[in-house]
Formats: sequence, structure tokens, C-alpha cells
Amino acid sequence: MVEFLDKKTIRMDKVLNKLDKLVLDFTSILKKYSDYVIVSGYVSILFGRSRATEDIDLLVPKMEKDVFFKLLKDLNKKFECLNSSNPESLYEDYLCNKTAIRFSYKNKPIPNIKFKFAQTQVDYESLKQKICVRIGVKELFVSSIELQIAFKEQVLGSDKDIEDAEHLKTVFEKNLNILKLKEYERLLRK
Amino acid sequence: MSEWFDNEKNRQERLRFVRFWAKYVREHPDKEWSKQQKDLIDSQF
Repeated sequence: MVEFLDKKTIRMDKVLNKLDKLVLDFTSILKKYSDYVIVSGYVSILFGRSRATEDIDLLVPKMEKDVFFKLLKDLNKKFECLNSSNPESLYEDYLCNKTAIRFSYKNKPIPNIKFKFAQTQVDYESLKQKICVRIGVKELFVSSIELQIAFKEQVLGSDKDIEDAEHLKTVFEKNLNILKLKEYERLLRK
Repeated sequence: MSEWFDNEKNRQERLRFVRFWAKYVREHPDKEWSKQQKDLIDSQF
């Protein structure tokens, strides 16, 4: 029973699972350094979909190298990067090369956070139209529901994605902006 | 349709359950559905 406080804020009172805890833990550090948005499968899971996932997709606007190094140092207190321990390589060879890097709790590779710089128009739209989800005193930012549905149906299209989209459509039946959804569907079909 | 497995029927049945569960989520208190979701997700890690 998700509750909209306004068009861009949702309040939930859910019992946190391991994925929720990982996301809230990670973003509590990330938010000190950067804007971010969570996209794809975890958005459906946050709102109740009955499945797990091994990774959570997270987008950030491209950040300066020194900011990334500070973020990495802070994250390393609790998390480890699964790709490399070399900050320079993570920034230059991966992130600036349009490749995601993954973070997990130390010595626990799954589940993990797939961290990537925004690159495409859809990525920037996700950041621009993000919504805030409040769970108790904590909060996190996820992609707009309409964009998630359209992207999963029009671009990804696997059985799992269609089911994720169907879940969101049913849960948010009374709150969806149908015009916005149609517009995203039109843009993504191109 | 394969002689061994009807993929389309399976897909439709799965979608029916997805809608059933999503409606449950929509109509029940967060604590109620999320406890069940937590049991399912946490058991996999």
C-alpha cells in the first residue's frame, strides 16, 4: 500500500529485506558525494515484486576523479569493489569507458551494486525524473515508475522484464501518469 | 508449441500470478506483504 506524499515522494512502511538494507547502506554513503538514481529490476522489487536479484543498477552523473576517489575511500570502509582495487583503473578503464563497476559487502560478492556513470538520454531522464522513496527515517531515489515500465516493455522485453513492468502497472494502477507513460513508450519505440 | 512444454501457457500463467501478487501488495499493509517478500529474498542469500 504505497502512499504518495506528493508527485515525487512515496512513503512506505515495509519490513526491510537484505537487498533493501544493502541499497540503503550504500546510498547513505553515496549521497554525501553525488546525485544518484536506482533503475531496473530493484525498483520493482522495492515495491513488492516477489523475486530476488544478484545486482542493483545504480546511475550517477559523471563525477570528477578526485570526488570519485574520496567516495571510494569512504565506501571501502564497508564495501569492496569487485572489479579492481586500483582507483585509477576503476575511474579510467571502467567508468570513463562506459563500463559499470560492482560493489558488495566485503567478502560477500552477492548481492552487489552495479555502479555506472549516466551516458544515454534514458539515463539522464532517469536522473532528472527520479522520485524519492521514504522508508521510516531513511530515503532513496529511484527512477520514475512510468519510465521504468516503458523501458522494461519497449527496450528490454524479456519475460522477467515484462513481469516487472506488469507488477509496477498493477501496484501503481491508480497513480500512473498515463500521458507520461505513453510519451515514454513512443520515445523508446523509436 | 513444443510437444514437451507449452511456453505461452506458462508465460500467461506466470503473468496472472504477477498480477495477483501485485494486487495483494496494493491492497494490504506494507508490513504484511513485505514480511513475506523478506522471507523469500533473504532465503536466497
